[in-house]
Amino acid sequence: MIQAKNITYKIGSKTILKDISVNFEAGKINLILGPNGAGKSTLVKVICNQLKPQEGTVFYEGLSIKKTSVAELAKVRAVLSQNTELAFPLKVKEVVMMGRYPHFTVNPTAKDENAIQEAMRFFEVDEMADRDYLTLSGGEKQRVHFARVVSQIWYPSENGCRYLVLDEPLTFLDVHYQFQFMHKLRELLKQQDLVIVGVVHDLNLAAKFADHLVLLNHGELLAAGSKDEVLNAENMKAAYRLEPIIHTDERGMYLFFE
Amino acid sequence: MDLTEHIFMEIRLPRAILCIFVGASLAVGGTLLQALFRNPIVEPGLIGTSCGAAFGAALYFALGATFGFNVGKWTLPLAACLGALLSTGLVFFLSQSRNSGKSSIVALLLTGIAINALFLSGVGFLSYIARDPQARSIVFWNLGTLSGANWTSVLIVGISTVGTILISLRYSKHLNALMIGEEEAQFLGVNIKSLKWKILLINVIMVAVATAFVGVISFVGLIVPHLLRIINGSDNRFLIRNSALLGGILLCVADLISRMVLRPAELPIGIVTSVVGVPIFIFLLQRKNYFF
Repeated sequence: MIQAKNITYKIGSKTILKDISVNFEAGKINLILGPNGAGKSTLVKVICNQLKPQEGTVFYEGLSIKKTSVAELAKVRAVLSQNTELAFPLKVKEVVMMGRYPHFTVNPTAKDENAIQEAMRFFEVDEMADRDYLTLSGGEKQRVHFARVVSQIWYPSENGCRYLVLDEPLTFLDVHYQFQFMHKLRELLKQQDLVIVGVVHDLNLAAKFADHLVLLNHGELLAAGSKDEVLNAENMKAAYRLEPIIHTDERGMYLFFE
Repeated sequence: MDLTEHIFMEIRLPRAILCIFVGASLAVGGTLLQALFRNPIVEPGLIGTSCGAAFGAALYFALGATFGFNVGKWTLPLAACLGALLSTGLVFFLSQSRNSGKSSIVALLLTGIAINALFLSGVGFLSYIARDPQARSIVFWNLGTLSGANWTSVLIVGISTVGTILISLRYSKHLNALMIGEEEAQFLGVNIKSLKWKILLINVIMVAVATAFVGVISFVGLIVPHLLRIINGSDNRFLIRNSALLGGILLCVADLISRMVLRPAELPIGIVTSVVGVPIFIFLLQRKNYFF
C-alpha cells in the first residue's frame, strides 16, 4: 500500500497541493482524476519521490520514502511518465530492457531476458522487438513503454508489494488500445501484491475500470472512494464546472456533459 | 642500435601509440557527453573543455617565461588541464539554475558557447601580444600535432585513457537509461546529480590530458559515435568500447594523411580531421533514415 499523509506542496507562495491524504491499496486500480491544473501530476511526482513536499510524507508499506534510496525503490516501483521521448535510435527490445536496469549490474541475466520477452508478448510488441524505436507510431511507442515499466516489476519482490505508477498512460492510444490497456491492467492485478496508481482524464474509462478513485480540484482533495462516491453530480459540477448527466444501467455508469 | 631502429623506437612507435590513445580519449569523451546531454551534436569542444585547454596552453606559451611558471615537461599539460578544468567548471557553475540547482541542457550548451567565445578571444589576445616564435607555438598547438610524441607522453596519456575508459564503461547502463529522460532514469534507479558530475570529471580528465600533449583536434569526438550509431544503434555498452577502437584507428589514419600530403613537411592533424570530418558530419545530418 502507498500512503500519502498530509502532503502540502508549494512553488513559491502558490500552493499546488494542500494537505492531501490518500491511500492506494494493493490489488486495486487506483485512479486520480481532476480538471487541468488540479495537481494530479504533482501528486504523482510527490508519490514517486520526484518532488519533495514542504509538509507531509509518503509511505510505501509504512516505510517513509525519505528512507529509501533511488536504486532500492526502482527495484519494486515502475513509473510511466508523460511524453517520454528518446534522444537516440534504439531497438525496441533495448528500450524494454531498460526496465531491467535496476536488477542487474553490467550484463542482463537470463531472468532479465525472460522478463522482457514476456512483457513484450503481453503488450503485443514482441514482433517489433528489432525495429528502431524512433520509427514507431505514437501508440506503438506507448505500448513499448508499457512493456518497459511492467518488465521492471515483472517478478514478485521478496519483501512487500510492487508498485506501478502511470501518469496519463492513455494519451496516445485509440479507443481500442485504451480498453485493451485497462483490461491488461486488470489481468496484471491477478497478482495480489501489485499496487496500481494512475492519472486519467477520461471519466467514463475511470467509471468502468477503477476500483478506487481520488478526485482533486485546485490542489485539494475533493473526494475519494468508489465510483458512486466520487463520480456524483455534485462533485462533477464542482470540479469541471459543467452540468453532468449520469446514466446508470446494467452495463455500468456513464457520464455526459452539456 | 642503428639509425632506422632508433627512428622506429623513439619517433614512429611512440607517435603511433600516442595517436591510438588520443583518438580513443577524444572519441569516448564525445560519446560520454552526447549520452549525458542527450544530444548527438555535443562534443568536448562545446562545453568549454577544449577551448579551456587551449587557453591554458596559450597562457603558458605567451606568459610562462614572464611569470616563471615552470615545472619541467609537465608545465604544458598541467597548464592545459587547469585551463580545461577552469572553463568546464565555469560552464557548469554558470548554467546551474538558481532555484533548483539543476542545469538544463539548453542553458548548458548556450553557456558553453559563451565561455568558448571568451576563452577563444583570450587565446587570440595572447597570440596577439606574444612574440613571433611563441605566437607560432600557439598557432601550431591550436591546430593539433602529434610530432612531439615521446615515451613520457605515451605513458601519461595511456594511463589517463585506459583508466578513464574503464571507469566510464561502468556507467554505460546509467547513460543508456538517461536516453529516455532524466526523470525516467531516476525511476530506473539512477542518481542523476552524481552521475552528471562523475561523467563530466571523467570527460575533463580524459580530454584535457590528451589535448595537453597534442593540441586541439576537433571532430573526432563528434564523428566516431555517429558512425558507430549507424552501424549498431546507440547502446552505450557497445558504443563506449567501440568508440575507443574506432577513435584510435581513425586518428592513426588522419596522422598518416597529415604526414603524407605535404611530404617532407607535415600538415597539422587538426586540419586533417576538420577537412575530413565536416563533410562527413554534414552528410550524416542529411541522411534520411538517421534522424533524432
